Amino acid sequence: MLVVSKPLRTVRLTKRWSLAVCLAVFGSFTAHGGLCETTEPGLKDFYSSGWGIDSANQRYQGPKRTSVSADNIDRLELKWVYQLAEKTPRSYPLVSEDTIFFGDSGRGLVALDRDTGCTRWTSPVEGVEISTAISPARMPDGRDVLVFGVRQNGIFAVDARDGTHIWRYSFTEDHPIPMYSGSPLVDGDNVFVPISSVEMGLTILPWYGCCTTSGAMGALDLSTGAKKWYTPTISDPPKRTGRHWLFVEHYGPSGAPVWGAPTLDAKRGLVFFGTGQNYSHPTSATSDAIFAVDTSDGNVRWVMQATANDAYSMGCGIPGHPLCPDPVGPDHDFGAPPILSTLRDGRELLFAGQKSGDVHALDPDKGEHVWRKRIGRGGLLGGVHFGMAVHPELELVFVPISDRETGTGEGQAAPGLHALEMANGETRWSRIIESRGCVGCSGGISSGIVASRDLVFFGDLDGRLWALDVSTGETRWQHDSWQQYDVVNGDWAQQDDEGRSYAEGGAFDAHGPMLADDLLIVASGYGNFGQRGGNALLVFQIKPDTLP
Amino acid sequence: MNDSVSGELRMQRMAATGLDWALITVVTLLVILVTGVLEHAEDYANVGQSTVNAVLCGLPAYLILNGWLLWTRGQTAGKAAMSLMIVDHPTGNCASFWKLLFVRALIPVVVIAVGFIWEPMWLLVLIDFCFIFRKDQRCLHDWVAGTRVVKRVADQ
Repeated sequence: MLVVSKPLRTVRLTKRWSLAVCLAVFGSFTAHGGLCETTEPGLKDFYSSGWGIDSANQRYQGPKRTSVSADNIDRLELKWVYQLAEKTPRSYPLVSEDTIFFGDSGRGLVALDRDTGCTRWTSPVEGVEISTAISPARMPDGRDVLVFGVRQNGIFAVDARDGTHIWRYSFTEDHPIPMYSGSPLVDGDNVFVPISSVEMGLTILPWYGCCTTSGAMGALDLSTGAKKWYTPTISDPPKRTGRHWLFVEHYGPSGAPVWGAPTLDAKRGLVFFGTGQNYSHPTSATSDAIFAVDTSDGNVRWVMQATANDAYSMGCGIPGHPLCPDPVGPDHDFGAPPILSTLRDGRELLFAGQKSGDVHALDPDKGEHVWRKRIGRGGLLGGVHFGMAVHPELELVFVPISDRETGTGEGQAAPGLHALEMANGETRWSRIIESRGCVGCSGGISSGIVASRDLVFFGDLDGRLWALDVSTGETRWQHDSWQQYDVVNGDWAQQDDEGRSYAEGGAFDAHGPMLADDLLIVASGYGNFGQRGGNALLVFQIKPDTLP
Repeated sequence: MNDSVSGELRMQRMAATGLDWALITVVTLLVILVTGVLEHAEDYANVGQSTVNAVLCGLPAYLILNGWLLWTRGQTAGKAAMSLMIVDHPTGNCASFWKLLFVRALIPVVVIAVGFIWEPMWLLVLIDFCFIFRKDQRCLHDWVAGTRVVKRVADQ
């Protein structure tokens, strides 16, 4: 369904009115921040192309793009904090020369001044949650646009200058209930869109006829938002396989959702992406797999299935639930986007991290294994979740492992960060992150991470932000986000007794930290899975060296 | 009505309401199950429509559970269990079926349904409940329907 929206009025006026009303009624709106004098953001220089910093998803920010380093990390200090409207943020900051764009679910896409945090514009979007990274792109007519996904409402393109809506598309003609939790990738005129399904959540309902939907990868035209192609991850149509409680029918195969960003291989004309488990039996040969499809038509070039016969649904969390597949699988998704990287000898490898804790190094031409290594226990909430990073110069793959206590895998848990050699998978160093020790706490790393020349940054589930030395894994910097922060904006509903607006930190999860220039930007808080919610968008900056 | 009798009636009425909601929830789930109205992926393409469908399943569930009792004795299942009945406030006679169904029973349903669109509406449920602590124990929906709840005596 293509929806071309009428241009929305810039929200600056609305915000200003809201501000005036708040001031008049409550007389205590936060002072330093609010709306910027200059609303138009700089759009000449973006510090990432989407989820993976680059389109190969390396999550590596080189020394030309970040000045944050081991030499000055001790001067990395909190610059400002923006209070997000919701406590499970899932966006990833996009940074230009003077602006930070972020999906503030409940408010919309916001453009914040890099220096002060004031709001240049807000672009409200339909739906609940901006769930992806934001990709910058230039249309053939010269307009700069921002492309992003809203969890159940589709892919949006807005004008980067003022947030005016240009188009929205949802693949509802192909899929009755698509879910957009993976970040879109823009390449030229193509927008590649990973597609998951709301059906995974519906399997908690015992009257639901599980399951008929398939994950997919789609491609849209950047200019118009029109569909170019749509490739489901399961080609066989679902068939009735049984029933329970007399009335409720079962179907399969289903599932194999795509909830990670795709990876571009421009040279081969391919996009790579990972899939999750099947929701019901029979299982398919395409679940828990890495796909390579042609960028031009979506034809499947190869599929590498890492875990076969993995059927799992949300119903499995309730003992005796009729929609839990039998036999039940381990839920070993590929949620982390694959990383395409080149070794010094010229070899290219595709690295993929799995919830089993396995890291796969694949030949991008055929999908065959070059090496495979398992770290930790893996399982339901274990292994690699949102994403890894690489260091091309040091030829290291950084593997964040969650391995929460509530996980279901076998063996010794290894929550923390692990550095593997790109060429052969040998462990260079491992850094187990101890939990705070409180009930429900975990030192595991679920969120995406980012590497620079000499540091690797990540946040753990216990709300601590870390910078480790890339060569040794030693701690170079840390920040504890389980606190209240003064903010540059504020909602009257989130003020303390003294009228102070604040934001709270929580678990680090989802897309993780971003490096740009002398800034480190990350959202703290993620209230799903019993984790601690929070609504703090934290912006750190290297404080100028005052020494002579 | 002395204070202890009044307090007992209030407790019985609250227990009856709790029982009614629990039973209606169970029967609504059975209606959803049998009709298959929320069984397929397409049924969830529009979140608002799915909610409306679920609420609509509650209406036959209410009738299945309480229709006969309301028609014949002015009772819901919960009130029957607690030996309570609904009567016309002015006359004390058994309240008419149409009034019990389309005014008294429908009000909470409408309030809750609107609450899915505009959450503050759910405050009205709380306010309605708080009215039970009035001396005459007539809740908001009793005022609108012109009814009150009394202890049922054996020959009624």
